[in-house]
Amino acid sequence: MRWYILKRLILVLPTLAGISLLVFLTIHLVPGDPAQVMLGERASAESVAALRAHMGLDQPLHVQFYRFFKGLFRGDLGRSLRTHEPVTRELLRRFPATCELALFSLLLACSGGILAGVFAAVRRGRMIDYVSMVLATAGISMPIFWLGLLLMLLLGVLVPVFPLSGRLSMHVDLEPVTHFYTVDAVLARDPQAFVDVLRHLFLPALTLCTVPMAVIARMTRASLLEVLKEDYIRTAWAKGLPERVVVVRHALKNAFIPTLTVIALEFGYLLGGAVLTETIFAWPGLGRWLFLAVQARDFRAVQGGVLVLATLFTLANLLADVLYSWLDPRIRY
Amino acid sequence: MTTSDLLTRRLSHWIGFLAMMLVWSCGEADRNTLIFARGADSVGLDPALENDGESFKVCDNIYETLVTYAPGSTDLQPLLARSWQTSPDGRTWTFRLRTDVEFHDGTAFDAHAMLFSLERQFNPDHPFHRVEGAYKYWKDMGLDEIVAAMEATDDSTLVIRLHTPSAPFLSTMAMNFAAAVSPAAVARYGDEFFRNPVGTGPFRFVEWRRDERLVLEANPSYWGTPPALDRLIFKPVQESAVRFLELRQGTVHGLDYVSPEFADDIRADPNLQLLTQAGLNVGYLAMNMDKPPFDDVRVRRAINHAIDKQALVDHLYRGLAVPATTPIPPTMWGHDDSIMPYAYDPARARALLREAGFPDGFGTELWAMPIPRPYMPQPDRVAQAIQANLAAVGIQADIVQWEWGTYLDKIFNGEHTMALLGWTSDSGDPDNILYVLLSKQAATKPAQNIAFYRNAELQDLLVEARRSVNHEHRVRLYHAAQQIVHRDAPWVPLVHTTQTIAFRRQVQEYTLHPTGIMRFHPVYISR
Repeated sequence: MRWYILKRLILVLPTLAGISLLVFLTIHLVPGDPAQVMLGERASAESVAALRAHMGLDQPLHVQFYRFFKGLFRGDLGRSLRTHEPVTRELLRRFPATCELALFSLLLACSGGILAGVFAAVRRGRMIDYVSMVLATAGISMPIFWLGLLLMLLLGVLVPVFPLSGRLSMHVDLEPVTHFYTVDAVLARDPQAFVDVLRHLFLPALTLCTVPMAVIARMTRASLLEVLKEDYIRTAWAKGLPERVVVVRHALKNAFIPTLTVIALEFGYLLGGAVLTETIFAWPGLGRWLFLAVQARDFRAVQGGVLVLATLFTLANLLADVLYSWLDPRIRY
Repeated sequence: MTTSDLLTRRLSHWIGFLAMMLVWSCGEADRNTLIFARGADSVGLDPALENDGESFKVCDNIYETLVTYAPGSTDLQPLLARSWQTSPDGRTWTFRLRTDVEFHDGTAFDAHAMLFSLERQFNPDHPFHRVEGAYKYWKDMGLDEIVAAMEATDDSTLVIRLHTPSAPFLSTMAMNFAAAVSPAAVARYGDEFFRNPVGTGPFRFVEWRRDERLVLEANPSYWGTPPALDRLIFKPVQESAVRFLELRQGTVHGLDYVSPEFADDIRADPNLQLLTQAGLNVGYLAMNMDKPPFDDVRVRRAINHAIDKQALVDHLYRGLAVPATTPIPPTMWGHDDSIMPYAYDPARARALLREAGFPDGFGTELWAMPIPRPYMPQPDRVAQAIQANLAAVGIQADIVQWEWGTYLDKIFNGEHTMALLGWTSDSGDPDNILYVLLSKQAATKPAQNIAFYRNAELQDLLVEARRSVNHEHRVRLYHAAQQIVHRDAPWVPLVHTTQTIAFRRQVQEYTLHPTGIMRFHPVYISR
């Protein structure tokens, strides 16, 4: 097992090298000069040239790539062309924002999705089954943008329970240490800030969780139905075990492997940042930052951001693989 | 316990959690704090390096310049300079500076600090010339060519020598890029000065969490009247609908760039106020005169007659714009209001086309920006409207779009036939529109003069207007210049958009400025 993990971790390196080369080439080959985009219609030829020279864009491509790679080994991703900020600093601030939101919405998605899936499987063919599966289909097909605004109108304006945007109320002072604001609030022993952070998390997380929740619900239902047909479940029933024990301990644990795969994948996607959700709720996460970076041809930010995301995605999948063998001891690597 | 019991219990936990959220709403913000929502965050806060409106919105409150624009107009008045004079040949400007000003970091403001602020942009050998970024405004305003030398002759006197007399020079010095920055802070923060700004203005910097909040507070040792607000917070909220909801809920006090679709709701809400003012901008359609048939003035005039600008204003700008007659907006000095616009008259357009030898019209291309601009929030829809107008007189125009950087690159190199573009003047001087966009000089590739319009008579007028320091004379020259541009019709000047800003009713004393400067100094929140 330990060897397996180590081997997988080593394999991550060439994958990442390939990804950075690909990203580097793509962003340099698509049309659009970052200097021109940044300066807009006001730019004189001199200032575009000066900015290009400043960004190192006047150097040949291989020189630029060599510089990027050299910086990478020193942990220096350069400064963003769009915001002047060091890319590493931006990532350290934005990744926690995205990760906190992703974790919170995954929590909602798992509790809702597994609950609905189990309900639907156990009460198969009954009203509750149809209702939860119709809701799941609706969850998959609902446009995020529309849903976000709808939730905002319902729970932010009509019944003003939750704030409309941002991570923290403007009057709450919370010193960012880890940039995971829930953790920072705990570190600062500030219960009011903690609740404020949770209130801000709720609407974007609810918006973001619909798709994963629906996917998880359908996957849980399908695999649980399979397992419930097994002989050992019939045995469990025959032994006179209560429904909770049969479903949760015997069936659900075995039905969980496909669901876990889905959860790991969904977590990977959520970490990629949700451009729309972040835009609607003014969430200072990775997704929108990367989106703007691509638009501005800010290649340093794009390279850094994609690299970090690719790493995380790979690690999330590795984690899922490791969890399989924990769930099903028959799986060995 | 059955599964459904368990599920019910879980569900009730969630309901309990929601109820807790409902009950425990957090405290109120300080009553003397103004929260302003805007569509994007600042790029940076070093005035010499920035290029975007969102950065200057904040810089306008932190920094001050030698001279400044009077409230509501582009007339100039003293700020850090008490007075100034020009030598008889118009080439030496002497500024006498205030002696009672200090920077937010406690260091004194004097002529040496002012010299430092300008010289670091101008002199490549200056120890702080090499920084992260480029001095874009300094270059774009042509100051590298205009300024010959500068020196601080004593603690309160700054002398700037020019190569040639330049009338727009003084209004250029009122722009934020020419503001005083603390030399001590620039030395201390280096490349990080852009996020640790230190100026002399009424507000000083407190905190910036990018894309979350940017906090300023009143400068307690301000040399002038202290600001009425204790704190000023800029909050980026990208979605215009969400900004509007936040304003209505009262979680923010103000917002700018009001979307036309919310303007009526804001006007109708007794808790809100909408301020509007004609902006110093122009959105235009340029015809590339290097390419036939646009080398024929009859064709260009026909297109001017074919486009229904009033319909654009009514339907696409929802009244938040005025149709343009000349490139100079009516709110800018030097605008010639004696010019009669080309009336919307398709019959006249067809007659002109017939006269030019195109009785059945012709096919061409219409290039449109891919992204909204302040002077044209919906360029694709404007292009479609113009396409329909042109089709009605027999001109079949295909709409062409490119990614923004490529678009600019291609039109600056004259690859288009007809193209939409625009300009916002932030110096408030007609030179900043007419010379930059229509002079012969500007028609050299990569060209800002994308009509590739070259008129020697106009060029002479513009050069003379640039050199003259007599205001009345300059007005006459710009009137004559607009007459020539109108006659030759290199553009269809489309619209001048209106600046908009909305506030909660309690916010008092905010005035819109034609150049788009945002000053929160006099603003207060009534109880």
